[in-house]
Amino acid sequence: MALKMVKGSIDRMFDKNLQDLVRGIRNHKEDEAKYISQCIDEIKQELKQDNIAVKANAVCKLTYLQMLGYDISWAAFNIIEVMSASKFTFKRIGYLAASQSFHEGTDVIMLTTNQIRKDLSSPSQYDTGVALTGLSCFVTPDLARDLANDIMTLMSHTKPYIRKKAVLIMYKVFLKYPESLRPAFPRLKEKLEDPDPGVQSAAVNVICELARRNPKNYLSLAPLFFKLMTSSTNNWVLIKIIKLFGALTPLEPRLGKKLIEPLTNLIHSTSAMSLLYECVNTVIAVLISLSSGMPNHSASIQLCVQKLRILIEDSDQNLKYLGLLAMSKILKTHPKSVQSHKDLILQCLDDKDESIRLRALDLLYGMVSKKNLMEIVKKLMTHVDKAEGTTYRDELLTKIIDICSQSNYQHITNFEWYISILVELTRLEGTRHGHLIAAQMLDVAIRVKAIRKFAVSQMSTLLDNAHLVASSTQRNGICEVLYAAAWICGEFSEHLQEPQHTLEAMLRPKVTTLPGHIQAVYVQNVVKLYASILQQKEQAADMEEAQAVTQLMVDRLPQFVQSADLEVQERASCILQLVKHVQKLQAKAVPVAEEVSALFAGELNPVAPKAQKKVPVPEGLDLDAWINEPLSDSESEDEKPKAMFHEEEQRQAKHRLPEVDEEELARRREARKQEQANNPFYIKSSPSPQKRYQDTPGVEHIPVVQIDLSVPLKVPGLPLSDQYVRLEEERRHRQRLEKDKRRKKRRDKEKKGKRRHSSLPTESDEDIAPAQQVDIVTEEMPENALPSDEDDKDPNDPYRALDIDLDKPLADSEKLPVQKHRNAENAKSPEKEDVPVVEKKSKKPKKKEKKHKEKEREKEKKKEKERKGEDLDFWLSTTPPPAPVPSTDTLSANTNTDAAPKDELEEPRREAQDGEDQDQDQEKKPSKHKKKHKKEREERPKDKKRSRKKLPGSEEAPGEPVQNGALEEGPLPPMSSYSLLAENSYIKMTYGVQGSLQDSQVTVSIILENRSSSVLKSMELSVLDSLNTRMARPEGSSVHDGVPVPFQLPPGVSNEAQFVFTVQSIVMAQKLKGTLSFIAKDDEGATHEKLDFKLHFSCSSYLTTTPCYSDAFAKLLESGDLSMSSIRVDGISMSFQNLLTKICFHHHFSVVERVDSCASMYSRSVQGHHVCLLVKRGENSVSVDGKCSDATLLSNVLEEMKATLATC
Amino acid sequence: MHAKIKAILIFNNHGNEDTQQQVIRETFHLVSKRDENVFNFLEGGLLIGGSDNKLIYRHYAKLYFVFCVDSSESELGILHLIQVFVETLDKSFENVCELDLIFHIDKVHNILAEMVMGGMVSETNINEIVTQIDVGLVPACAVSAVKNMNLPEIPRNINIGDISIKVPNLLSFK
Repeated sequence: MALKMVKGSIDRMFDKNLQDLVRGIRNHKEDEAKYISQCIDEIKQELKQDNIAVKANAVCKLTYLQMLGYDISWAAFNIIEVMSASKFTFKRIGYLAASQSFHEGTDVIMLTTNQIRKDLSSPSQYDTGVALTGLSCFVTPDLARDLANDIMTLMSHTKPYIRKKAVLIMYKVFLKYPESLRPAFPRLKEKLEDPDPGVQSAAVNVICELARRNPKNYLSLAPLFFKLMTSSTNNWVLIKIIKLFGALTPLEPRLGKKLIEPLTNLIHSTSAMSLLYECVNTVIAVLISLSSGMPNHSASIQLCVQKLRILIEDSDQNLKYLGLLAMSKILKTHPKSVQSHKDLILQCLDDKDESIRLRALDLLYGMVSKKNLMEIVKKLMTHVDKAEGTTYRDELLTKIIDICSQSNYQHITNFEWYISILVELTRLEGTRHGHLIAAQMLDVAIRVKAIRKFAVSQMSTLLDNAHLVASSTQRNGICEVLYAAAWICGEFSEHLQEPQHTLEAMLRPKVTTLPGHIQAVYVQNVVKLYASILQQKEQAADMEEAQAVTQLMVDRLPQFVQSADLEVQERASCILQLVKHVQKLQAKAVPVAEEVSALFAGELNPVAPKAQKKVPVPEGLDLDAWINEPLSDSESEDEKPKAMFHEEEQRQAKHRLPEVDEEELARRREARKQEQANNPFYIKSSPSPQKRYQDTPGVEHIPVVQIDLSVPLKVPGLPLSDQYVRLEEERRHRQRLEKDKRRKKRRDKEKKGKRRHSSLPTESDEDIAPAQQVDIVTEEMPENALPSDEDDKDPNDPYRALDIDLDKPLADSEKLPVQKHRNAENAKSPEKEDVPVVEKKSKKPKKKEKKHKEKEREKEKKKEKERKGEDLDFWLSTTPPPAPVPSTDTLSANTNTDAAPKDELEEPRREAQDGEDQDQDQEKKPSKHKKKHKKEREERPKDKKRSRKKLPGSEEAPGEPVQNGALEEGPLPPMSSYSLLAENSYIKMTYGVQGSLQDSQVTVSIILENRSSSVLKSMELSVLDSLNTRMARPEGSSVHDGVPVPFQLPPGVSNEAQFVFTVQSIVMAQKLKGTLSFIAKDDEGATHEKLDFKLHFSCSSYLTTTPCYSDAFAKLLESGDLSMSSIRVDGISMSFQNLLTKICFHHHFSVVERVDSCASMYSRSVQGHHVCLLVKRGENSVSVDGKCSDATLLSNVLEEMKATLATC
Repeated sequence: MHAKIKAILIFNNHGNEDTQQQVIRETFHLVSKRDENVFNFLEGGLLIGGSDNKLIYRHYAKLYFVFCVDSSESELGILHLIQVFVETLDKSFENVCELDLIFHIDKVHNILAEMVMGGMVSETNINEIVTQIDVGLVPACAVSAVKNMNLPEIPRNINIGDISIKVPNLLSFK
């Protein structure tokens, strides 16, 4: 029996497949967890079997369990086993399980590398396909690095199915291994033009996705995409490209101009709504990127808006939603075109979908103008009335306020109307946004001076009818407006019609039922009101009345003194004492009004919300430094520096403070109750009504009789906003009439003057003059506030790693890692690249050289950009660019060349650049300039030649007065280590040599300047090696082969190439003969040209600037291993300092020590020879004593130095 | 995940409270509460990875197909893709129903893998997808058919009328 059971279960174990598992789980609803754990045990058994089919079945079931949320990471190794199955169906199960459960933390994932590589290269396209699909889900940085090259090969697979998948997965590879982007990109780009539409679509997908994150790197692809856009019929591809263009246009407005036409055509022709929508979106993006002044674009906007209207009117909610979304984008730049569809948007407010309604509200926000504000708000007010559900109604309310208050009440022409709207809103039942309305009332009253009188009258009526507002069911919401009303009436009490009446209204007993913070404001403003009444009465010499008012205050204030709210109590007690004192004075007939009013003198102006933040930190104040050493933790926590920021939010603080107090009180009350309840000695009493306020400080505990108001609220005396709408319309009408009259007059005049001027009598927004003298008080800002609005880029953005320049030529070091045999990898190949090894290897490159190089690199970058730009420019420019006004830069450069030729020749590099700039400008300049310019240019080389005769190895300032003591200390003109190599009518070559401390190598940097109007290409440098000095050539090339120059030279451009030479012996100066061959190509054709040159390696060029300390220097001299030699040069006029600088610069020495007119200097050769110098300055002469480990080297260096010094 | 199509979810309108995956639960609550007559996009919340992401869904019978995509995808395009997906399911299962998806989840996965790869749309041609999927799948089906014959107690006809998914013709896209 037992055996049978075991046997049966074993049978089942073998049998159960995925379907059985699913069915089993569905049949064990009650004990699902138990059933599944049983299944997992079975699966574990199955995985132990050798049969791959059983294993695959088990893994398949695991995949399902993983979906249900069970952990299957323990089976990772088994999954890999199934992945390596030879049968496709099993393999697929394995890869599916892997793609579901593997992640970067899965440690066995590295075991898959070889299996995946095998599958990728499998002859079956399905194996390859499933491997690619799986890999796309679990690729890790390691896998990406190891497999990038294999996948890249697959991008050129014969089967489109594989090509497509390989292209798509490249995106994942780029993300995980950004270094692969540059080497793989050219092939990816090729795939844009793949014959298979699927592959093409995949490539578009990937490139669009890359470009979306770093659009500027992909601008150069714009022409290609443009071609695709106009030729492709695949909507998926079109949508992608069009979306991409949307991202590119902000970077290149000219691209936008080019796009408008094909996009408009697509909008007209397509039947696919998705494509239509994306086209409209991109057109909008284009129009946003183009600044105004494009006359014919109103048509495009009109087209977009019309099409969007169709979308919005569609019954499909998706289209409606997207239409509104796009409409809101147009709105930002072209509000007028949207405004004409106001009816449509207002219709959407009736939509059954709340999100659509909210979208429409958003749109309305941007659509309002001075002209239609009142109308729109009126519509919204009717919606407020019929809106169901408080959330939507509250949303409407906030939107109304947002719409009206946007950009400093820009659209409000009649503030009386706005105040009445606000007052009408106070009648909303159950809104949570009373504080919003209150804030608006305060803001308007404070900032629009002209409206204060009206506001005060409205607020006093509101106060008078406070019972209506305050007793509505949800008091805590809307009664906030009383806060504003009380404050306005108090602060601007001089505008009150019947101050005494208002005063009485504010002192009613009913007021004590309001929330504490509102009562507090009441109390405070009652005094303001009182002060102004006193003043009035005293001026009228009505002493009796004045005393009566005081008496009223003395009578009514005690009700606040009894308040449970601390703030109210405190203020009331203070004020009561004040008033009692006033009463005493009044009894003695002393005039007091002046003094009481003085309490409230001065205006309260609004402070900008960011004001505190913008206060600049005074110099020398370090906010992060401790003022005192921090005390223990507990103490520092107690004192929070709250008070410091109090000023910042005065107004909010007013709101908040009482609330905090209430909370605090509630907490204490609770604590006290708790304590009392636990205290057996405390006699609990039922609270008597008289004592109630002592126990229950919060107002909410006082029972309030609810007044049922079924009748709609019509506060007597409150004006309806509609009245103001009508009044405003009448006013505008009058205004218009007047204007028309004036215009007519003017036109009459014009007619008399026989001048025609077609001005359409349309009423634009700006024509409507506001009814009130709108004086919007701006918010106060601290002095010298910093206008800083920091823009932040997320440093953790994974796409930042892919911000890579793709147009730069590919360097060898960037090649994708390819699996190779070890010895092949280790074999060191001579540097193929033109980037010098020297530069990478030398640990301490000379500062100046470095700087020089950086400059050079920048220059190259700039050039690169220019070149890129040129291609794109060419594509983008449909019309020849207008002749630009010669920039001041050029002008100054010109004057420079005229006035100071010496400047120019001492800095051939800068000059080269200047020349280049000039040339570029020159091309754009009208021909007149050109001729003149050419002359100038012809003159320049002559200058150069003249001075170059004094070379090599020396630089001097021609024309510098000799024997002039006054100028002796003058600064040295800029020096350059570059000297002329050779030149002809096509090209000019200048070169510099620098040594490196390793491998006895020197690098020759040659600047090639194209001075012709042809493009120079296929440049090749061949040098005849000597026994001693050899040029480093690419691997496999013979000594007779030339080394290609890795760039082309467009007309007027110069660039630098570097070549490495190995030197055997450096003790002698060397000369190498060489030839530069190139093809010069212009409009008429191409010619093959040659230029011979002689490379001169001076001994100084083998020296490298090496710092040396004086004690080490002394030891060197003492060692006695050095041979000695000396020179003397007479007739030196240059200052000693300048002399030393020259030696340092041209001969690569560094000064060890300098005493008066004597200095010790040191340098080291690339082969490690020490060279020590003692330079002494006599009268009109210099003597140099040298010590060196090689006598020949020393004498040669000294000879060269002599030549340099002779020119000083 | 840094891809355009970030997640694809399919669930029925009962909601699976046992599911440990909070995302599914959250999405379920977001999507299933929406009325039939509202638009099919949901702006991204924190859960689905920020404001750049959107949920785009379609509702067929009792099933919701939800795609979570970022702003590089066209909303209407994805709606179309869901349609393609459902039509493909319909074609390869011959009148697809909810239970098909549950019992043959591996096949559903394979179909999806053909359509979407690395978060990008890879194939939208229904016939093409079906051809790729059926490679080598025939033996597996046969095995399961034979197995099922031995188990007469298990309902053979799982294609119950009311839960079969009707695939209406929607937007013309191509």
